[in-house]
Amino acid sequence: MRAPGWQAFLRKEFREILHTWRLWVMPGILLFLGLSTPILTKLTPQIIKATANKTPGLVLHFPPPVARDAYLQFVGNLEQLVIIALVIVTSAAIASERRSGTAVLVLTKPLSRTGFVMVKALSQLVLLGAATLLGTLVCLGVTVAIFRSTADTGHLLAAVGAWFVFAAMMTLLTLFLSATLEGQAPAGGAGIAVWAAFLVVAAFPLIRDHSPAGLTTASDAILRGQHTALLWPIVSSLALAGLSLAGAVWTFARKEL
Amino acid sequence: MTETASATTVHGAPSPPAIEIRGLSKLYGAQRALDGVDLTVAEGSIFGFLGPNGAGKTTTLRILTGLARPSAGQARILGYDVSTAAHQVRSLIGFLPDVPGFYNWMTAAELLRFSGELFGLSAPVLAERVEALLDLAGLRGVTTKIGGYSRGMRQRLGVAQALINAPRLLLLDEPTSALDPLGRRELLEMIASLAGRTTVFFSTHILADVERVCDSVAILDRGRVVVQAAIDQLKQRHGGAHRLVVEVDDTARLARALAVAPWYVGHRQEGRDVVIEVTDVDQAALGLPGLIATNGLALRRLEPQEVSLEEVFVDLVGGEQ
Repeated sequence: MRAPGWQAFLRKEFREILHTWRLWVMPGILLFLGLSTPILTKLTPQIIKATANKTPGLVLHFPPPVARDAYLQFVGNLEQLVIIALVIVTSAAIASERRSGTAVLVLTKPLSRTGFVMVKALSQLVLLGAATLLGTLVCLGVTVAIFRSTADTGHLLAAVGAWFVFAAMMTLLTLFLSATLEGQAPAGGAGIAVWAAFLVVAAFPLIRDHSPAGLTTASDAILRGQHTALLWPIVSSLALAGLSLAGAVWTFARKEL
Repeated sequence: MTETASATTVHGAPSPPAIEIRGLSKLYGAQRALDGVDLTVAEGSIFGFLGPNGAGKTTTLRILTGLARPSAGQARILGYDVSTAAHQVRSLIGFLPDVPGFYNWMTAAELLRFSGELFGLSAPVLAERVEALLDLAGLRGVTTKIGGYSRGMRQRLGVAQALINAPRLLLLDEPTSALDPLGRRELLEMIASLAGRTTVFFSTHILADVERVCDSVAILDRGRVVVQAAIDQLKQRHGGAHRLVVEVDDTARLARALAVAPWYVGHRQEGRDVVIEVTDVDQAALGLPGLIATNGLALRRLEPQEVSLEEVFVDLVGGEQ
């Protein structure tokens, strides 16, 4: 009896990512966005002009697109599309193992429920981190190649960093919902509802500047060079992430399977 | 490690039972799934846990494996309390749930290897066991992913994964319920082959399966253990030694002759056989040949009739269904 069960379970999680649809969702979406966003940003004015030319008398003037436009588009996609995909994927993490009976398979062996939840959290965060790194580096590389400019590289990294804190918090919050609610659909629905609530309260500056809601708009502001409050949104996001993880462990330990 | 002391055989002291349940109850809201279950399973037995659907068999197994918590009472496995020493319990048992869930992207060998790694088995031991269990489950050389397996293959793999840690107690929940006759026979043979190697606790509502592979049985009905005994004792206790089957050339004359016998209770005809209910089977077996000869009948067959487990089961729980 040498290796604790959680190490074997962690290896299983990573192998599962490579063998199933999980490989294609988050890494696939981020890779696609990293590749396509700079290209579309470059081509969008020409596409619109080509369409507008078919309308007699209509003349459109666009400023030539720059690297920052590509980064703004990329970060905008992270803030919307990728968060939704992230919530849907993470909502399956525990709920689907319970539904399929595989949680019973592993939890009647020497793997504690705490170990089960911690491994799920770790694997989800590693997958998110790797996919974010991949997408960002591809976006950066393609943008530099197309626009022949390294401007705003630091702003992009800072913006993605701020987004990553929010995304990690949403991952752990959704993991808590996956451990608590019965099934992936309720967990995913609740996760998207929480995210929507953050978007709504971000309209109120006092709440936005002192809560995770601040991170829903921070990346865009960073890229535009606008002042944005980061300290409390980051601190409160990390606190909520920690509480969500602790809640997931506590709830799952008491759950009857 | 106070729990360890209570579980270990010390200086010839008897080892604890494989399963010991006292006053176990489980409530789901107002519904009582288990109602003061008492049960003892000796180590080394193949034990049938019999009961109609909804009797509480799966709930009992879920509590024993730590998947659910009891509302009251205590359950111990090999001396360890399942509520307070869950990790030790999980190290000692193998479990096959009623509908086993697998990672469908794995092959059988990969699943067995993964299961063994959860127990921290060393690589050489694991390699040896994986090969042996693939043989036992009839899955050696099957390279298909588990997602493509038949129900029978999944059940056999389920038993194999439950054996990867060479458990001292194997818990099987309705392992044959959804199998076709061939798959059922294969699985029962697999379970029977474990006799003497580990304790098997086998829940089912299929009486024939218990009769075929188990040496002891408990019958659960509406959350209560109605009876627990060795199967032979149970049959004895419930009328097995009180019937004789006789075949003679004239059953009508035999019926008239039987009426005067002091041990005679009643009889019924089953084809060419007459099944005679008696007060004392030994006395009847001695007196019946003389009675038949005196009445000029030709005796073709005389043997005691063993009661089936099904009759015992119906006797104990069927009338109240």
